[in-house]
Amino acid sequence: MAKLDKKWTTLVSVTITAMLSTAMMSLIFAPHFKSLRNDIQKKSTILKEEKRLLTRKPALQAEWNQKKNFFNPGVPAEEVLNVWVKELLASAQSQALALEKLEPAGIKKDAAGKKLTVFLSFQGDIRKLASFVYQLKDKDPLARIESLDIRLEEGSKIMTFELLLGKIVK
Amino acid sequence: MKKIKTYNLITRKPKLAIAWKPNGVSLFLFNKAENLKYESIPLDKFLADALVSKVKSFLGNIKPSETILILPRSEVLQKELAITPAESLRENLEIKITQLLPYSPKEMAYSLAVHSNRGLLYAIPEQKIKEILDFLAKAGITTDEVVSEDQTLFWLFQNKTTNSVTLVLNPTSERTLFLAFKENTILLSRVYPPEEEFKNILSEISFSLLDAGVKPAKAIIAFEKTVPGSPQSLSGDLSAHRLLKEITTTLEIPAEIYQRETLEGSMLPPALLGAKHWGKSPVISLLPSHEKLKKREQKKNRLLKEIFAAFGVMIFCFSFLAVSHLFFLKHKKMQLEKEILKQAAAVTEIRQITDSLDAIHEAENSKDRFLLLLQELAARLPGSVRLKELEVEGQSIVFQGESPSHALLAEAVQVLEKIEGIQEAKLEHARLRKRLNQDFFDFEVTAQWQS
Repeated sequence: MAKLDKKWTTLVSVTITAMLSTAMMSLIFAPHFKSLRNDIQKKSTILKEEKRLLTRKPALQAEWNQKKNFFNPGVPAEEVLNVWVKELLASAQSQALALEKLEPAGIKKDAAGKKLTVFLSFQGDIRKLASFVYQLKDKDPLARIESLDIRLEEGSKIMTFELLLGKIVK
Repeated sequence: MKKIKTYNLITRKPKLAIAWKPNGVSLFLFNKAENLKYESIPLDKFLADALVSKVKSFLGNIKPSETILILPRSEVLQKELAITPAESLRENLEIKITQLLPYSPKEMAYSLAVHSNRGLLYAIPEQKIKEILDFLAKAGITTDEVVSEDQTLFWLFQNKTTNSVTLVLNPTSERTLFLAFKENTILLSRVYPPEEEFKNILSEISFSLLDAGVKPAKAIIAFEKTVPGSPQSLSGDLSAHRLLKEITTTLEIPAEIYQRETLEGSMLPPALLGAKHWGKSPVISLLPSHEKLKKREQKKNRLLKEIFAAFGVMIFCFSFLAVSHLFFLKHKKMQLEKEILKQAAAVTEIRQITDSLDAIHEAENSKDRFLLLLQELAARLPGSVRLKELEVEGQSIVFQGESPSHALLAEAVQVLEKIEGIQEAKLEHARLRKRLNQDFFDFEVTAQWQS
C-alpha cells in the first residue's frame, strides 16, 4: 500500500508539474512562435514565387527583347503622344474614316509607367469600327481600348463611335 | 580495499546499513546494483571516540543517502497477538499495546504490524535507541530507520519463497535466530543463546510452530561465518551436514543452505545483506516516536523539494528547448530574408519585364475581346433586334437595344449570356413602346468581362 501510495504520489506530482510547466511555457513563448512562424511562412511563399519567376527569366527575357521597342524607350511621353496621334490620324485616313474628334486626353502616371490617352470619335457602320480595331491590333500592339461607346440615333442608320484609347510608355 | 566510485547525479548515492551488536558494529555500504564496502568493528577494542573515528574513516568522504540501523533480535521485545475486529479500533489497540509493553509506551520505541487478525509487536526501550542514535550522530551519521535483524533476514528471503511458510535459521557465535514467514509477513521469530543445544532449539521451534498452527514447507540455513578447515561448518562440533539432517528429521521438511555473498574476501552477514531490500518490503520501525514524526515531516519536505526541483528542471528544460526553437526560427527567418535580398535585383528586373509584358498582353486582350464581342453579336443576335447603344468601360458592358417581341428579347439576352469572355449577363429592364404599326420593347442588358 505504501509502495503504491509513493508511486501514485510521484506520478501525480510529475504530471501536475509537467502540465504546469507546459502551460507556463506556452503562455510565455507561444505568441513569439506564432508570429515567427507566420513571418517564415510569408517569406517562404515570397521566395518560392520569386524562384518560380526566376526560372521563367530566359523565356520572359526573350519575349521582352522582341517587344521592348514598343515602349519607345528613352523618348519623352509628350513626344510619344504626338507621334501616336499622328499615327492614328494616318491610320484613319488610310481607312477613309472621317474623324469627328481626335484629341489627346492626357498623360497619367500609372504603376506600370506613364499612361497616354487619346479620345477619338467617328461615324459609320459597324464594319468601319471593326476595321479600325483590326488595324490597331496589327499596327499598334500597345494601344488599349479603355472605353467604347456605340450609339445609333433614333431613325438614323449611321452609328456614332466614341473611343478612349490608352498606351503605356516607360 | 575496493575503490569506491565517484557518485554524481546520475549514479545514486549509496546507502548504509549498520548492524549494532553488544560486542561490535558492522558497516555495509551498498547501492541498488552492487555491494560497495563492508567492515566489522569489534567494540571491545575501541573506546567510543576511537570507534567514531573508525566509522568516519570507513565512510571517507561518502555521504550515504539513507542509513538503516539493524538491532539484534535479542535486544528487541517481540509479541504476536491475535486481534479481534473490536480490538482493531485504534483506541483499543493502544490499550492492548500498553498492556503488552513492560514500560509505559512513552518510554518505548515500538511498532505494530497488523495482518488480518494477527498482529506483530516490536518494541525496545527508547533510551537504548537514543544512545545508539546519539553515538552514530557523533560519527556524522543520521539514521533514517531502525529495524530488528529478523526483518532484514525476512526481506532477504522474501522473494525466494512461494506462498508456503518458510523457516530461516541464522546461527552465529552469539545466538541462533529462527524466523518463520509467509508471503509478506513474519509469523514467528525467536532467538536462542549460543550455548543452547541445537536439538533443543529445534524441539522448541517445532512446538512454537505447532502452537501457532503453522506448517512450514522448507527451511533455509543462513550461516554467518565459516570456520576455517570446514567450509560449511557452524562451530567445532556442529557441521552443516549434521544440521541439515537434524532439521529434516525433526521438522520433516527439506532444508537448504543459503549461498552467502562475499565482498573483498569477507562473508557478508545475511542480516546486513537483507538491508539492500529496504524500501521494497513493509517496515516495522523501531525509531523513537518523535523521530518517526520528524521522519514523516522530512519525507513530506523532501517530496515538496523534489516537486519543486522537478518543476525547476522542467521549466529549465522547456525554456532551453523553447529558446533553442526560438533561435532556430529566427535563424530560419534571417536565412530566408538573406536569400530574398540576394535575388532582389534579379527579381526587380524580371518584375519590370513582366509588368511591361502584362501591359502589352492587356492591350492586346482589350482589342481581341472587343472584336470577339462584335463578331458574336453580328453572328448570333436575331436580325430584328436592333442595337441602340453599346457602352464598354473598364470591366462593365451595357447593351441597349430594341426588340419586336418578348421572345426575341429573351433570345438576345441568351446570346449575350453565351458569348465567350462575358459573364453575369442580366436584363436590367425592358419597356414596351407603342408605335404606329408595331409595338417594340426597349431593353437594357448589363454584363461583365471575365477577368
